[in-house]
Amino acid sequence: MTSTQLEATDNVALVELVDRLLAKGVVVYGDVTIAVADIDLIQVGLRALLSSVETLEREP
Amino acid sequence: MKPNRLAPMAANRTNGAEHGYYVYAIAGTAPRLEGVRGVDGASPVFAVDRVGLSAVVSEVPLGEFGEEALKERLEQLPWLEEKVRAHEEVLERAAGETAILPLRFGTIYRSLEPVRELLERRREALSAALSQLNGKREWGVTATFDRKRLEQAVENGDAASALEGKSPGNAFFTRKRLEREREDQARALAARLAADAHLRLAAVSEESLREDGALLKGSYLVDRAREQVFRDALNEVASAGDPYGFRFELTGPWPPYSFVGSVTG
Repeated sequence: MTSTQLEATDNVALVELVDRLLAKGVVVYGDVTIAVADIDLIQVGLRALLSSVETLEREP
Repeated sequence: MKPNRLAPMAANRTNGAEHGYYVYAIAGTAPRLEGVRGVDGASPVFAVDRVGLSAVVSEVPLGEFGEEALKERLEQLPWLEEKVRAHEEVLERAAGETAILPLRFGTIYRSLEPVRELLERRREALSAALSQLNGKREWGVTATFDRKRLEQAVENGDAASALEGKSPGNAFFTRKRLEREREDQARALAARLAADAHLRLAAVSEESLREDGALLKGSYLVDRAREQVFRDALNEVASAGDPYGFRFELTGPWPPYSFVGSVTG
């Protein structure tokens, strides 16, 4: 990823992106290759992981 | 459909040579997407049109984005970060052109025909959702507070007089009680400030959503024509919260992730 792409998204925290992209948005059921329920499960674990990572990063 | 560049006749769905189609969003009018690259960092993003609707799509290798591969990679933070940022970048480019319905990260089809069928079969619901979202953008607001400053703000001035003339033992328990009361008051005040802030912001939004479990983590769907009004309201609640150590953070504009639901393909 280039730095110009980072600027275009205002470099928002990854956790903000994950909260929206993996937990929200239109869910299409049907012909997709991955079961949506699987992503939901992954998201739950990931959210906790990200929160702890970003907390660590913010500490001086 | 483009010819498969990597290998012939792959039968296994997770074979690296096979391609799928990553769908980012559905739009009412085809957005111009020249020069936009997909989540694989290389494939061009293009529109798939049917019945006056467009799906925003790019090719992805199933070796990286197939069901099993995706499950594994979702747990690798650097990979995930690169892909969610790339996905968001595509949406922002598309949303700059037209109203879009953002799809959940990782919506991947094995061919384009089911994507066209989805547009056709669900045309009415998709069109209705798009016209409802037209001219509106999502903003995120989170609040945090400085506990020390908040507790100072609720400090009862008569603490000294309450301790006056008490024996050391009595004074100790009185001090403990005052501390507990102060913490309770601070918590109640924080909850009230957060609730007030949400109501104030929701009042100038078309739709709003407040998540459980955080002091304030809200999403607000705001008409473009009312964005200044929304910002003014946020400045207002920020000033009101400042003496109590409240800090607000605004993110956006986002595609309307929080205000779309499910579609049965």
